[in-house]
Amino acid sequence: MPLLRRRKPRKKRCRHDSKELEARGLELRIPEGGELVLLNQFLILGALLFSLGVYGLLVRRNAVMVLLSIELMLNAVNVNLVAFESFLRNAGAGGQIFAIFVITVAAAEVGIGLAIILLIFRNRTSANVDELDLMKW
Amino acid sequence: MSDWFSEPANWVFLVLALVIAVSAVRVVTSTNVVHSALFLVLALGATAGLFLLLSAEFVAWVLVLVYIGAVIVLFLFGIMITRAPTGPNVEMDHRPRAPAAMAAFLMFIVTAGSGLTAFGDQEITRLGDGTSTELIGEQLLQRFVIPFEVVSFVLLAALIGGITLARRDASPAEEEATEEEVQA
Amino acid sequence: MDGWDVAIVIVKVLVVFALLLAATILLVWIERKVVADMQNRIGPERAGPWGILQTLADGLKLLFKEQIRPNKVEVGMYLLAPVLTLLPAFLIFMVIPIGVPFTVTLGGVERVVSMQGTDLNVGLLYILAMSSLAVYAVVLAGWSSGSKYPLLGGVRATAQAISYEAAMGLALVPVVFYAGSLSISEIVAAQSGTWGGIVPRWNIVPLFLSFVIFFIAIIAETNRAPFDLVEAEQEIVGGFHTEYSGFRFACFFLAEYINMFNMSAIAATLFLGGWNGPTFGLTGFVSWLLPIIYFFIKTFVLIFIFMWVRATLPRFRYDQLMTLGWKRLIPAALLWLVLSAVVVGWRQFGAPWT
Repeated sequence: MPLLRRRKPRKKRCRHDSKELEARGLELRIPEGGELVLLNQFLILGALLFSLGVYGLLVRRNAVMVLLSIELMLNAVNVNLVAFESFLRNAGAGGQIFAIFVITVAAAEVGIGLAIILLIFRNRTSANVDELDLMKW
Repeated sequence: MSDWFSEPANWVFLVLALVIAVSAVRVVTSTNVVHSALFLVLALGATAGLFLLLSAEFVAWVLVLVYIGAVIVLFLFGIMITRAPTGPNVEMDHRPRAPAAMAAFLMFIVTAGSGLTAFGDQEITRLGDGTSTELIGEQLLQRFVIPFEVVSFVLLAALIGGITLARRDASPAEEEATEEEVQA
Repeated sequence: MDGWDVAIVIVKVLVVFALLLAATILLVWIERKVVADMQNRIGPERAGPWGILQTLADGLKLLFKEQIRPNKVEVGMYLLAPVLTLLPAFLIFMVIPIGVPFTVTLGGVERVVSMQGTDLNVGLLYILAMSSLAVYAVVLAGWSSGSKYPLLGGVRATAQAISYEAAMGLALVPVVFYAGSLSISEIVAAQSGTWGGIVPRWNIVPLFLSFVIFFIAIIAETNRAPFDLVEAEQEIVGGFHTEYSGFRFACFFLAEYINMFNMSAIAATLFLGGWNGPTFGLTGFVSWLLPIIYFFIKTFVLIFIFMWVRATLPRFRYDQLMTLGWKRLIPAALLWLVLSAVVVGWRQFGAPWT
């Protein structure tokens, strides 16, 4: 839920001046008083997601599951990027734009990855990564 | 710490983080591929909620649209097509899990620890201050125009690669799996 | 944000809910009547005047039927899918404005109430995201039924949804170019007025090809004939809802018609100017009521086209579906996108040599 809802996204504004906001048809929904949302809570969540992805990547046998774990790791990166964007005052839109890049690349990666898995499955009737040992000597 | 709990945004964060953490654990431990994919949907949905909390509306809905709406659907398609073992009795994991768990735990210690030492108790002060879609568009084509072009090149490469992979014996099933990235 | 604002939001949600249910009841009856007429039949006529209560009778019958649960189903998913199918169907309508805002005085404060659940900055993206979620219910229903034909329906649904979502998204980008905003209310506002006093300034006039692509894509997204491969009775005995009965089946049925209504409303909003229309200089209550009437007229005209198409065209073959999606619609949408970008850029920045 966005904490500020605005009708017109055109203008920059200062968020403490609630009268000015109301004059422009905006609502201030944050209770007055200090915010205590730490950056670290997002970073730790991102770290947790990433390490769970690492665990899945190492432990899974099925190639589709490995790809799912990679998605978890990419998502952890997105959490960090957006949190940093919110943290830095002069980030422009950098964090969000890179989050969009990550999402785009993830889509490409899944497209190619699944195509490869489908081909392997067709040739070997199995999608288990530890049975793909033809190149081993 | 009582200050931390008095901030309503933190309660939202706690609920969402709990959903994300639990469903992420289920993604990597579930013995059923479809359940894994669906828990990933739950984790991604909660992440989108987190982005809305951080006033990143555009990214939140792009996440829902591309990730949940296309990528995971593609996964489900792949799972159904490859007849991946969906029964509960199939061995889904490698046998020794302890080393992997150890590596993941160390990873967590390092990344979370470096975050803790670097940023201490710094606050996010512009929580309600969203980035307008207009700004994202402008920045995308001004400051980040080269990464943008690189990403579009990556997409083109993926598209060509996908078609090449599928060409070998062209079945409609594989064509979809590979042509999906047009949409991104 | 006081108690009255909360009350307004709650009323809006309830109105959307009631509106969609009422529209569905009407739609099923209209469809049966229209199709019957096109096939030289009479259609339902016993329940109520002109058979208008037929849907209610059918719904009641389904409610009291036994809800069979086959042995091989994945219980959790099997029960979740019917609920999941209704959720995006109801959520998607929340951003569609059905009329002009009006002012009421509640609690001593004048409040402007928009005829829209909520006006998101990224409303169009929200619509696309929600409509892409609709496929999950179908896939889950197909997969969890633990039966051959539903699974086939589920696989078909995934492929179809991904293919046509791309075309749908691409067809909507020129609309954003013309309106300069992703907010639905601003897209509607950008379509007010006329060209030369005659031609309404609707997006369908400059973006006719976009509209055609979008309309084909939404027929495919709602799994309606001729794109109903997901639930083809003759091929896969009903597809994803083969194993559903009673009220759970009714949920799928309901969602299909709600989606049809939603999509027609979206098409009317984005391409036919939404609630815009001549007010003939009238003021007061009438000027508030007219836009709502315009909105519903446009929506129902599109719904009629849905039914017309259904009664006219035979079902596509699977490879024809894929060919149409990937080799016709998406390239056409891409070309059209580039063309309209050039036009909009020309208009905004002048010719490249000046």
